[in-house]
Amino acid sequence: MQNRELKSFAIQPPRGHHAALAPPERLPWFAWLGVLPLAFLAVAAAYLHAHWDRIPLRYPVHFDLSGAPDGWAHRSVRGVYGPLVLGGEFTAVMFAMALAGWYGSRQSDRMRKPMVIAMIAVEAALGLTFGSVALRLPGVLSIPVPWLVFGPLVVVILAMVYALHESNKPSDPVDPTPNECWKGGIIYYNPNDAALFVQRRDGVGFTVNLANRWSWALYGALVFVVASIPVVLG
Amino acid sequence: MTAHILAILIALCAQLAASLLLLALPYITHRDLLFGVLVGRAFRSSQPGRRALQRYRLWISVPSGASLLSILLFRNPAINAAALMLTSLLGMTAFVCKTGN
Repeated sequence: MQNRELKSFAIQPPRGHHAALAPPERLPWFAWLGVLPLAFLAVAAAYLHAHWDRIPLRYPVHFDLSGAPDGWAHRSVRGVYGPLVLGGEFTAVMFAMALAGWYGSRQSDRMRKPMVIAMIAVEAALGLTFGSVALRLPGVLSIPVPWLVFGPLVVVILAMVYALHESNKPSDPVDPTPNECWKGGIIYYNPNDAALFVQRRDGVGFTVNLANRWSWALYGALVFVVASIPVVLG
Repeated sequence: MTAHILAILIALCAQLAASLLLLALPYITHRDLLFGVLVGRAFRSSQPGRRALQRYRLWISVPSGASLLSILLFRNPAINAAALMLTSLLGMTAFVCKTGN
């Protein structure tokens, strides 16, 4: 197997400064933009509440590739507000991840700022998608489908391009994580490292230190959101 | 354009995107890293580094090619999904197998 070859060529990063995080640094202004997607969902809910009577009793919610409706829903609290609640859960988790990314990664890491920006952008895309889907109910607002699909997609693509552009500068030092704490080059587990987020070794971006108990809180929140889908959407 | 052709096009695009992403993985990571192992930036151009990259490309290219062919030949949504999952799984396996951890 190839792995034996590479393992024998492995070198260790400089030791000593991977264990501790510096005192918390003030949150950058752009991190507060993460509140906007949540506010958008709240405004969408208020708008739907104000125009409740305009929503038909039965309306299409799913369409096949030719555009013909193949799924229907009835006007109910769960049917109308469900997507907004689910969107709120996803965006809140993403916002929490962005905040955790800022406070839980090394201050010396120059990818910290791009990471938070990318997370906020993904959060915005989620908020836009769920909010627009809810507002696009028949009789409420007419949002063209291409806007609905490509709007959030453009936000995510721009964020990815920005993160990719900011990463992988040849002059940057490699994240000082010890080789033996990486499982398969993908999973990071280091009880001696206070960082919650470290730079990935399998691409661009960050991954969590599974030895940090907050990582399980983040994964737990994601599992909760996914598990709540049948309950929220009925 | 019929819905059937559109479905095939979407499957082909998804498969192609996954394959390209997997092929790009070693090149978008930090130059000091190769398959998750800290090896130093000169290692990539050494003989073992080049050989590791070649074998990884082979690991990805063969299932990707087979998956693209199966999407075109069978035109079955279940096979399309299975082909995409298989390529991703084999790609990640190839990556993990090369890390040596």
